[in-house]
Amino acid sequence: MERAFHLPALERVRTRPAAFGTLALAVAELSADEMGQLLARLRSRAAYGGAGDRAAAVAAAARRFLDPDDRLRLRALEALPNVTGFSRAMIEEALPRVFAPLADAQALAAMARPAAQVVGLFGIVAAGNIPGVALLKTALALTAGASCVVKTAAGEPLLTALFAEALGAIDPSLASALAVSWWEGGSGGGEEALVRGVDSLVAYGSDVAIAALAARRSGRFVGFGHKLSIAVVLLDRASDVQSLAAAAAVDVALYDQLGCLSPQTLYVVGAELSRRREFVERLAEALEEVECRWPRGGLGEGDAVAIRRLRDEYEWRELGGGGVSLRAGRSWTILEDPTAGFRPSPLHRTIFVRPLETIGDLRHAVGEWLPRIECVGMGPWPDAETRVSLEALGVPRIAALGHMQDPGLDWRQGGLDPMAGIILGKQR
Amino acid sequence: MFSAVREFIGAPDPARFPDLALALFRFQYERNAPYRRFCDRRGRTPANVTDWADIPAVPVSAFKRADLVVDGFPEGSVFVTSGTTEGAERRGRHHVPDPSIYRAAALAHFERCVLPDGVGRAAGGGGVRPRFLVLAPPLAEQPQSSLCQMIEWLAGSFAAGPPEYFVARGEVQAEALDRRLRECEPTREPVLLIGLTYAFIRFIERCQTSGARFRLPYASRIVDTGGTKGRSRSMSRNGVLRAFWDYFGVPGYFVANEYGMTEMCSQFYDDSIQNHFAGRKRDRAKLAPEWARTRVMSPQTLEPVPRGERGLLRHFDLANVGSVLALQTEDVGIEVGEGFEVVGRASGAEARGCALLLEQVA
Repeated sequence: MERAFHLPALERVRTRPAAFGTLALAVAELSADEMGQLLARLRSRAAYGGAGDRAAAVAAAARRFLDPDDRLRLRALEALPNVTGFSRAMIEEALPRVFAPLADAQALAAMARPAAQVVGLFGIVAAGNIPGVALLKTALALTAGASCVVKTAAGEPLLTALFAEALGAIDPSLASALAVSWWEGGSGGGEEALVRGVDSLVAYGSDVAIAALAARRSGRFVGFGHKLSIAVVLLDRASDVQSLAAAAAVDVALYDQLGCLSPQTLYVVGAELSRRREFVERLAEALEEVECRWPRGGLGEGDAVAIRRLRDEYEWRELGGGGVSLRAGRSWTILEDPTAGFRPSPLHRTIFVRPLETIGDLRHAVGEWLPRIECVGMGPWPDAETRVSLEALGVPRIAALGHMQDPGLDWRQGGLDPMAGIILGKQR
Repeated sequence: MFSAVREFIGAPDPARFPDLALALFRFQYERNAPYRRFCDRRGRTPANVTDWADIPAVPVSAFKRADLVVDGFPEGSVFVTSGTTEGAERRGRHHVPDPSIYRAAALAHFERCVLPDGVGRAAGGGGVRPRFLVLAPPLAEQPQSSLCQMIEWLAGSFAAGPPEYFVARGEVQAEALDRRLRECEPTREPVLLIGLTYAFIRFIERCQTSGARFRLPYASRIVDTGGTKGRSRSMSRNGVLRAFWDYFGVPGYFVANEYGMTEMCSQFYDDSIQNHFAGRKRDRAKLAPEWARTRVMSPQTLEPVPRGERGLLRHFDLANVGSVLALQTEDVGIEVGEGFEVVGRASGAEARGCALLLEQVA
């Protein structure tokens, strides 16, 4: 049974099996006293070496997940589909996207060598089932010289523990600055000890969960609540249609659209109706092709019904001559809507396609959803003037279509410095 | 086609169901333009559908967006859903060109499931007619409610005297009901309490506060419908049955939950009362009339699930002769015994239905 924890600072750990998806993992049972003990030991542990040495160790550990024959990577591939619900092919696709940025020691060291002072003990509360959500911050914190405690998410409690195991084999001293564990959110004294005991806490999750954590925390706190993304497609050239549709399909399909960087609406700018229709045709083909490469993962009853309701609505609106159209395959749905608004998608590869007269209309189109937008995907990559107008929206990330979900180390998530929470001082 | 369905309801023959369903599909395909477009889009037409179970099923939400009615017949009645979380402007409309078929279907299956012992049968049938105490609005207040219409029909055929209503303008008339139940207690005449599950719960909550309890005469029974659908105060089914016994003195074997919807002319009832009189001991299940059949479909694929697995209920109702016979619901159920049990609504689905009859005005 895989262990969903890494607690080298504690001599003895009580464990129990817990079910995640369709797999049982061994999880640690930490009392408030044990968590206090853990935090004290991590805090007393002095950072050693320079950021360059630490970055080299982190990068070497990350590279193990890029090596097709490495047993840790193979264990991740074996377990994560059962734990997260994603298909194995999706996990295979995800691992290099998660670990390639971390495998660049130079970039890691450059990013984590800030002028400001680094916190001593850094905590992370992860959420969701996207593999390795907490890893970027973990890697930056360790490289910067902080000790780090990660509470993993029920949707993906394993990958950070496996990374810690890899780090332990390369640099046990650095690995001893890292603690990873899972417990049911909001339960037990261990969580309270973590929330109150770290110098700085970064949390991911629903707005409600973030607010609840913030209320319990008196010190430094950074919360990443519910965010979503959109994409803008300029079909000025007929020759772009196919490649842009393929790129959009990648962004829609990756992580089954469950990530905050997954687009929920594609805005098609300025094109005549026939070209927009062709784009939708090519997008449908591309989503079908992507399904062969990365089959969609399991779909719960509620999600399936939510998608079906939307399909039903659009089909009957189309039959009634409402100007909308529905295209759907086994695992994807395209909802073409002539209005330039925004409506949240039920995800799992369900994408709205809407027209825009000009990019300048984007602000009006997304309306009250603008503060929720984490990323705007652009295809083709825009000229400088267009980029300026997009940046004026205040969206944290502008990305090339097809690469929305490859944020890299310099991702200013939520508009914050990548080192937010890890360093003292201003976070922007 | 209307005559053929009326005859079937009058003298059901399960062996004839497949042929009649396919004939009705052809009839509706030819005369119901929105439904025809829906079928054409799927490439499923009378030319290639040879099994009744393959008749294209429209989602019940389609009744909000299209007039699904066969053309060339009198308008008849139009029933409107009681509201949804989308608001009043998105209510489903079910056109019933021949309400007499709806009435015949409602009466026949109610009698079979709720009055199998002869109670309510007309003079000469040997039965005693029960008083109908209704925990739903009167038809005059909700003229487009299919439930209110149905209760009016049922009372007209089976009740001792006119139905007595104890919900008005969205409020349970608790004091009046309290008084009436006290009057009924010492008599030997059975009472039929019929209405919204949620209204019963509100009244029971009042009884819990006041300490009131009633012991209704033997053979009294309760028919409740609508569930508690996403309301703030909900109660498990076992909790409801227990409360019916505690506060009305009506045992579970005289309680039948009705499952129906505005978009469908037939109803389903628990088989509990039938089982009691037949001496059968088995888990209660919703029983379909002979002119309706139900399949449980995977929410992911809309293909049938193996027996015993939960899925979305799809109904094929011949009594829907004037609209669409095949309906895909968002109600989650499991095949049980000779029927099915309703587990609830899929979490992605909006709260809708009869429970809102009370909520929308309260």
